[in-house]
Amino acid sequence: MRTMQCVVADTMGEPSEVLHLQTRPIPQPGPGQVRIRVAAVPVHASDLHTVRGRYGFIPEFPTVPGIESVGVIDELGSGTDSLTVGQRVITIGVKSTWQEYVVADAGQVLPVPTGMTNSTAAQVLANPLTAVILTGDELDVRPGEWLLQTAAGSTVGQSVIQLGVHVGFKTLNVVRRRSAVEEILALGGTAVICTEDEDLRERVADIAGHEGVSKAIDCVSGQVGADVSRALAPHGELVVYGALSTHRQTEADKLTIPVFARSLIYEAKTVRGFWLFRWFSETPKDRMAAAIERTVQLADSGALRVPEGQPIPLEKFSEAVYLAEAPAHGGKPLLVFDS
Amino acid sequence: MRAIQIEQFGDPAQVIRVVEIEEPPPPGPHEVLVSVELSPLNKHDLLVVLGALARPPLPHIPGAEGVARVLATGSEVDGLQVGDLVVLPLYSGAWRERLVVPADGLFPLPAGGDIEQYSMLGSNPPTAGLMLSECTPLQPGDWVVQNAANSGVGRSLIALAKLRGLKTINLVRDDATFADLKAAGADVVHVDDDDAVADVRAVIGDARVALAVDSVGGPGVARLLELLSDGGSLVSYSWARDEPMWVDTPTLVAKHITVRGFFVGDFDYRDKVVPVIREAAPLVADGSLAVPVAAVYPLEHIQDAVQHLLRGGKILLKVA
Repeated sequence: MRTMQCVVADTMGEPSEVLHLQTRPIPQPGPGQVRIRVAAVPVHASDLHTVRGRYGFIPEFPTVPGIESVGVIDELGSGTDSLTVGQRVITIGVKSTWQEYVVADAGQVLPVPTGMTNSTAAQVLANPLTAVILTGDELDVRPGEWLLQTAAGSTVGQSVIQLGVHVGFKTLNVVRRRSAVEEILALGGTAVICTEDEDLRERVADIAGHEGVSKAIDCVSGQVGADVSRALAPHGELVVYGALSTHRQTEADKLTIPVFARSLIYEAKTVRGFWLFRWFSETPKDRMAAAIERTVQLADSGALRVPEGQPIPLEKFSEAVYLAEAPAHGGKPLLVFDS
Repeated sequence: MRAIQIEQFGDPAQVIRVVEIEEPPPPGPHEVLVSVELSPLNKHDLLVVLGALARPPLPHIPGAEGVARVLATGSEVDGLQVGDLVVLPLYSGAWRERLVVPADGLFPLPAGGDIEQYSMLGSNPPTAGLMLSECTPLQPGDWVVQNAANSGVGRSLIALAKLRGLKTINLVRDDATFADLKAAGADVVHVDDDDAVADVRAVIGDARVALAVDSVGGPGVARLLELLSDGGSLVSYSWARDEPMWVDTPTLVAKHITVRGFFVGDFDYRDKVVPVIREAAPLVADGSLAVPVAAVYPLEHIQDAVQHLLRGGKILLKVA
């Protein structure tokens, strides 16, 4: 039996302790499925939080992490005529991608544009897609409107800024450190609020003026999330897409947003959660396809620039796990396979 | 005639005064002259007096709601007779002996009902009924969970949910009201404590809980979020604790939950309030919706009434 390498967590726990390499049989595609020889997969902080049992769902252990992949189709199951062996594809919402071969339904793969690098392709369907959905289907941010966002320097945050430039909406970007401000402005961010030395609500009022800001996204949670909610104009909408940012988050109060009932009641504000994996499972097919197609096109055209990942061979996965949550890790760690 | 008036916003103990004001003019063709019988005190009234909400022009006569008796009808008014009891329109300034209001939306309350209970029809039942209909789509058989279930809105929600084929999970401070709430139609009652989520799920299984209603705030909100099903909505209409709702972000995100507020006076609901009052009036008339009244104070004892409200309990003002 032919075998492959994969990264497995046997139990829930700290990734550096519970993840290890394992040899498994290469999976076979069933009817309507294809098998992909994986070229690269990103290591996201959210993958690590999933292993910790702190992100959205608790997987069944032992589990192979990973939610994105790019690779080449190497075997077709029956009834997959639209695809061909040798085609380079990305997987859509397929879990357990940290392995050399992945089996996916034919409807869960998408051919990659010829000019797109594996680094970009491997990363396009988590963070850039999240940015496209949040500013599109979720909040419908129109040209000329303000969008307030926290963690503006994160991968999603950078994609949102680029979308603002492309679509014509204005981004009001919240960052923690002053050292991040220049980078945000250089990317095309309209304005920056630095919570290190500025009051978020005062600055929103200064910058957006009488009209205020009606739409916001947050993945910082805690007091910052609460300040964002309070800074919104009446009828404002806040979409929360995480409490994670990029560092190890374990304190309970940082995973909570203190929401003031009074402003929800008398100013008709809303706060709602968004999780990409639920979106994959709940969104009507045509809408899902439209958002994915738009994201891939924007990445292909360069309107969305996905920072080049750092390739790390599978056997050095521990290094990738460390880098994924290091304070300043540069490019996204990518596990690469050269079997 | 007498009225309660404020000339400036501030601490109710300082700014609320009983004053003499002019009688209202005779009703226009589409109006009625009424005498205000009873008006409940609500937290909302105090927030208005404090100036904490959208500020009305001064001087201002507070009083969000009440029950009144028709004294005279305008020439074009149909369906109302002198002597009928009616629910005042919301925010008409009920803390005065007589006033003129538009006849549109008024209807005679069923004869023989308890006037104290009728006085609370104006805001609690529409708050409860509209939270059930306007926040998220609910199907008969769906479950709704609420805390502070023994409050006026809480009891209204139990009664209206039952009428509409919805099931209610009711969290309360202690077990003293269990029998009472069960008798009023509550499907599940539980103390609002750490065992609530597991115990309630043991009873209802994996049934869909699409709506959670909060009027407490603080850390207990976590229980409502845990009980909510995927895609559910958490709606707040008040806050008993002087602290924010502690919304657990992983739960909010994982379940795609929407957290929102509800204010019955919102412009969007202006045409929807009276139909719920009409729906609830027969329930009050036959006793199936009743809210215990802690005390009734005469108009001139408004300060005692405010103090009692702050201590807790449903307080009514005897106005006329």
